[in-house]
Amino acid sequence: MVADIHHQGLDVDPKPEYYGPHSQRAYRGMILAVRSTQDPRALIPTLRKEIAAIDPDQPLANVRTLETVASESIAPRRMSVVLLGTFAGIALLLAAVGIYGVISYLVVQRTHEIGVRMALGAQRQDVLRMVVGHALKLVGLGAGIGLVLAFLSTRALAALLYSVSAFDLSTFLFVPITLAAVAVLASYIPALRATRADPMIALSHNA
Amino acid sequence: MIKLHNLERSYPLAKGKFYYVLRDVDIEVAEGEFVSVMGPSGAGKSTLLHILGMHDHGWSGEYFFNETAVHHLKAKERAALRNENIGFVFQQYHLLDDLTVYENLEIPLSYRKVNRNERAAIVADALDRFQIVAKKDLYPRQLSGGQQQLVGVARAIIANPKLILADEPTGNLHSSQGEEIMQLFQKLNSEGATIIQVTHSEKNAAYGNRIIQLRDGWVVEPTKK
Repeated sequence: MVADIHHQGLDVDPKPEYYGPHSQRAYRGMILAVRSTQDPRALIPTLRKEIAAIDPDQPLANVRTLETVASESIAPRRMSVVLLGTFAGIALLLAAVGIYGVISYLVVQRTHEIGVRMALGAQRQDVLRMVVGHALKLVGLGAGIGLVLAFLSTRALAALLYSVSAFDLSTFLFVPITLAAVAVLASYIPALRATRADPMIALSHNA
Repeated sequence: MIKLHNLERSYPLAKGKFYYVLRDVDIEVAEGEFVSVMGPSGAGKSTLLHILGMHDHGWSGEYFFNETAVHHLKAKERAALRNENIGFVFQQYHLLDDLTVYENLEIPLSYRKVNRNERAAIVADALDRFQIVAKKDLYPRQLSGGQQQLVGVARAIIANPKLILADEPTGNLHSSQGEEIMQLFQKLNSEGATIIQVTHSEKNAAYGNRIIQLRDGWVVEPTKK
């Protein structure tokens, strides 16, 4: 009895297998696994020498460490994930710039209102709370729509995932929280600018 | 209540020069007075009002409000002093368009951390006192100019300020509406509120008991009634 081996790659579930003598059912190729406590690359010349001693006509090719084999087996998936991650990062950056732009515009639109509120007693933290709160409401709405779409697209995503459920709770929590954090940061600068509004100028601004 | 000494307000021009909006202003206003600030356009009337209302911080000189040296206070402390003591009435009313009359009246109280039940009681009193109960759910655009200014005055006094500052309060109103507002000011003054109004109208100024004339930023002789 031996443990499971991922012959087809790390992302493919192992199938039931049995081992038979090479002399009874020979294959053209053979994979030789060598375990060592030393750096395995240092063993390559010795390995070549030993195999040549058994059969001088036997070629030895594609000598790799187990780490390389494991890494190469998930290379295509890693590429997809890196690409997806890069585009997700760009999307997050664009979302942050977009939120900043929208909130800045809304703050300018509300200059008069902010001036009146400050003239009526609003403190800096009241204006900050108002502007950032408004941004969070918009992001909450967007995140809600996004979560629904994410649930609907789980079947397509499932083909790209390995060892992670398409309904991974931590991912579904992390993404909205990250977006909310981005929204707070992106709206904080216009909000801060709003708190510095001169009520005299704001009150002369057209209502 | 108010004492200004050597108060000046200027804006920088090119080549290190300054444009003076107010120069060497010395004014005293006692509690319970109804003062009108008059003068031609550009004389510095509104600037003076915004300094008195602690909106404008870029001035020099001395300003005492009820013995508190405003010139030594930080912006936050000035805001706290303003919230506690001053109410504003604007020529353009400056009601918030997206809020009902009720909500507009509630704003100054909510910024003074008055709890919800108390707010409701105070707003209900104000609506009753100004006879605008029927308008409480209307938006400013659904009111006439006079009604909007009535709400503006109600909003200015709702937090029970000691001083009411009014910048051309009847400037956008018909004469009859303007008279109603001025009579309201007179009533508030008789009930103890100190009022300082900026006006171009001799008729409106006559509702007060003193006129301060400004010319090119200088106080020209104050007049006792």
